[in-house]
Amino acid sequence: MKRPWVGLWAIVLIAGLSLAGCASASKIQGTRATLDQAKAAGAADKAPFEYNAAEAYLKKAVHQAEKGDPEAAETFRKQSEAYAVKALEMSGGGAK
Amino acid sequence: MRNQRFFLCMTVLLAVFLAAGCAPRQLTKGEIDQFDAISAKIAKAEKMDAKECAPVELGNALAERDAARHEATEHWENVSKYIGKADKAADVLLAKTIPCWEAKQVKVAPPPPPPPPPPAPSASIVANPKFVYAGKCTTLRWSTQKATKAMIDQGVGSVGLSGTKEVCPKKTMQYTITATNAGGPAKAVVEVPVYHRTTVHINFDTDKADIRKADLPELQKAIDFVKRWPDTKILVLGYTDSTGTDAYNQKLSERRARAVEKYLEDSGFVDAKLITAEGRGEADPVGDNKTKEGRFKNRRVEISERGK
Repeated sequence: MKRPWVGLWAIVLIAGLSLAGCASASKIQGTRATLDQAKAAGAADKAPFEYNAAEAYLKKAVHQAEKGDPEAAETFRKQSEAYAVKALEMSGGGAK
Repeated sequence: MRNQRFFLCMTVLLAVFLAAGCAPRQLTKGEIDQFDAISAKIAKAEKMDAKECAPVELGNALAERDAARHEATEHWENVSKYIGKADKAADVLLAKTIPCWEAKQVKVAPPPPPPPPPPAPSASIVANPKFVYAGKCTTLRWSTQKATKAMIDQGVGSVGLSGTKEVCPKKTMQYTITATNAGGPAKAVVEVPVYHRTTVHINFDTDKADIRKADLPELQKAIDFVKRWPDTKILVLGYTDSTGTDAYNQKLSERRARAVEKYLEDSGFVDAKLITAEGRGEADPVGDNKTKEGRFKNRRVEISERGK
């Protein structure tokens, strides 16, 4: 009777933390891909501010994710994603 | 049972700690002021076209500011370190943006206004004599100021910026000089009237002003002349030779002129209001006063028309 309580509590806690971390890492990878696409389209020259802002916010997102703050990581990642998409559009590499 | 209660307590305790940890920390007044100052620096840089001047630094400053704000509200420690980092990023942004923006201001400064056009030239022209009789010539004299070229119409053409030229108009003529430079043209006009005249020679018995019968054919020449120029002003000028005193000759020339004037008026071919008679004494001789023939030529009346 004692064991199930402890086990269940531990499983839920570990699973929750793991899933949150994995989701955050996956989204960051997606934003990194968008940023790489923008870079390939010449965003560093055509939309330097947007491209560099996306890089800066993505670094912050990674930092927060590494610190174990998925909520903050997601906030910064979203900011980075917005800049990356804009940079991609401005450099003509967006969806046609 | 005891263990069950223990885990329950632990769970509640953990929940309380988590709730306390998740509650955002309130920024102090000093921290709010610091963030405002950082935002103001970034806004100033953005107004100075930081997007073009310092794109990397602008992106970095924005990210650092937002990260610092997050850290300040989420954590209790190292807040000043994060704010300091954001402030430094804003300073780096301004340091790169300001000189770039100032350089752009120099580049886009409006071009200096074009130099004002040179002052317009001026010109003047006169004729000496002011009028001529048909077949005679006059001399045009002109001058210009600040002109680069000049020309006179009526077939004269391009001329120097100042000078003289003899012209012999067949009829009354207006001469216009046009002086030009980059500031524009300037014009001056002189009219040279061309008059017609005839000369008659009449003499008087000593101390008399009556017209002698012998002179009537000469006076017919005067009649014929005024008939040719109806409704025009007629000038009658009397002259003498050099025999006698100046005062006597002046009077004699006036008598001579008035005699012809009266004769013309009496003829009815010319309006008395249009005739002017003057004596000129022995001035303007047309013959040599040392010879009989010359003196005859000088004892004369010149009749000329002077236009309408």
